Amino acid sequence: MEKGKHLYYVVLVVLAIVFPIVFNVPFVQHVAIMVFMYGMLAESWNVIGGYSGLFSFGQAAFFGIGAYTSTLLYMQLGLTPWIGMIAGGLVAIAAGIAIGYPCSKLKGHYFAIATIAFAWIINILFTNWSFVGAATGLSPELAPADSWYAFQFRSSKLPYYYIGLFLMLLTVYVVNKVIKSKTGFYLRALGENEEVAASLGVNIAKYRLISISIASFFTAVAGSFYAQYVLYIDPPSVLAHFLSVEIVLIAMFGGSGTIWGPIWGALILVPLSQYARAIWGGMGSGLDIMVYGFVIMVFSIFRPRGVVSFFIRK
Amino acid sequence: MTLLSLKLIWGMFIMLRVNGIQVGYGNMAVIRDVSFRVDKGEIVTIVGSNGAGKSTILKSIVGLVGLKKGNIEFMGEDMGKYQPHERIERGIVLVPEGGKVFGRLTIKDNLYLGSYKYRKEDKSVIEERIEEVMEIFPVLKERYHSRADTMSGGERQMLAMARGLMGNPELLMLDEPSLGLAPKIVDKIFEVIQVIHSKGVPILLVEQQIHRALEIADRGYVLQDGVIVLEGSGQELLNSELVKKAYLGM
Ligand SMILES: Nc1ncnc2c1ncn2[C@@H]1O[C@H](COP(=O)(O)OP(=O)(O)OP(=O)(O)O)[C@@H](O)[C@H]1O
Ligand SMILES: [Mg+2]
Repeated sequence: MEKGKHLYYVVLVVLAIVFPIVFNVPFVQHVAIMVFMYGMLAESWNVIGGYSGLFSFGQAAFFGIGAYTSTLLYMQLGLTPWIGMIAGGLVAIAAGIAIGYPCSKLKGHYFAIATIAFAWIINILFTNWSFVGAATGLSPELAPADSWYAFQFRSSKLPYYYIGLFLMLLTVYVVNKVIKSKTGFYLRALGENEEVAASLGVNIAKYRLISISIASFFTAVAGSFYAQYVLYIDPPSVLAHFLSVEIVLIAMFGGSGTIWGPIWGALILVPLSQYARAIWGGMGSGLDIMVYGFVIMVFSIFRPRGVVSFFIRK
Repeated sequence: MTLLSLKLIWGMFIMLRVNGIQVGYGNMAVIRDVSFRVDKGEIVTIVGSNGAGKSTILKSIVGLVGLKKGNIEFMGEDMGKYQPHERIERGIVLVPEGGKVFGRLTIKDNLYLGSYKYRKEDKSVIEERIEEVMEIFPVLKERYHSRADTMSGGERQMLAMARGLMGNPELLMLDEPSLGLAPKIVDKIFEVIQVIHSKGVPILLVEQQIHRALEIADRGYVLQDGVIVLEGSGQELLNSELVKKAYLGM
């Protein structure tokens, strides 16, 4: 059984590796890269929203912090975005703790509201802060050729594809490790019933901050990755409120509180939204978003526990 | 004798001392000037009807709600400076009302969560404790690997109590263990409470099943609208006019 499962994963990874070589179409590769990025974002959210019962609707703030940190470090100091990516993750952890600590007593929807407000504040701050390019945004100088140091590849999407795949799998791996550990055990207890967990002596504030830190870090890493992929960032693209909502939707659609659910969510919803936008988006009627919304509604009615519930027995 | 040693001797007999506490949510005071104590080896009960503030008292003892006035001493030490997890490390354990268990986790995992304060100890120590606790609750043994939400209400209450015992309490606080259970199951629960007590664990029992609670209690307090209106031994209270009239319908 265990062995069969491993084989299954190996096959999937091999398929993912050969996929962009077989489907050597830029748009298809772009969609796949977005799947990886959103998969990573949804999996990060899963740690807080899926397992720890902390419903954040402000993940865009951390995504933006990652994107801005690595881009600024590259533009101002010439630091490679690879290190910038980790720096962005650390800044996001700091921001997560700064917001999480005062909110550590907030319950349920109050916590959700606090995260929305936080993301809002960050958005307004960045829109008006000239050092970070304000409303105009930032675009790093383009490297003369593909460069690993500058984390820029323009002759092909393949490097982004593989980096994205790697980052997503890394996120899944780390989240899985954490959730299966003792720490994860307490996080799940927290998510199930915070008051009971507290009455058993679980240090709620501490585990909340651990959970928030993990999610913030990987969300910011995804932000840096995105910044390097598009090489132009501004508040509407990396600090958008809709992004925060999308992250929650994808995770819940796929099945939050399970390891692979958020990835399934990304695999299904991201291509749907990308193709809907490509086909109907130009009509300016919002039809793409309506189709997207309709699919989500139908699924929430028939599969309230997420797509992943097709695969697991209760 | 120094003040400190006096305090230590004091602490040897008195487990819990609640002094004139006021507790509320927002501006509303739910508990007003409540004082009581639990000594070593006792079963003490606080009885009162719906909304009297029983759960609020227990929550304030573990620190889930803050005090507006008064103080709480546990084994001679003021609890005011401690967070909930620090109080539990000192041996206060609350079994919340309604048999609240972690439904999506197995019985085994629920019990492990109860031993949170021993998380750094060897697994064998915890497993030994699980064995001990399951001797009191054999039903948990049969269902050890099932999810807690597959159990009946009575079984959940047993699990919640067993989980509380995993923390090796110096004081076990039970919030309405009989809530919503059939009389037969309630009998069983009360038997188990006495078994736990006979192992030397002092118990603070909060109940609406006043007759039953007073029967097994050494001492009791009657709580009405956040105020203690009567106290005495279990027998005294059972025979009191107030309890007979207002609660037992005699
Ligand atoms: N979190 C809260 N916020 C505001 N008011 C609360 C809260 N919890 C309890 N109360 C109020 O405090 C009062 C006492 O509640 P408490 O739960 O302590 O009563 P109880 O004696 O345990 O009742 P029951 O027998 O129904 O469990 C009630 O009027 C209740 O409405
Ligand atoms: Mg109550």
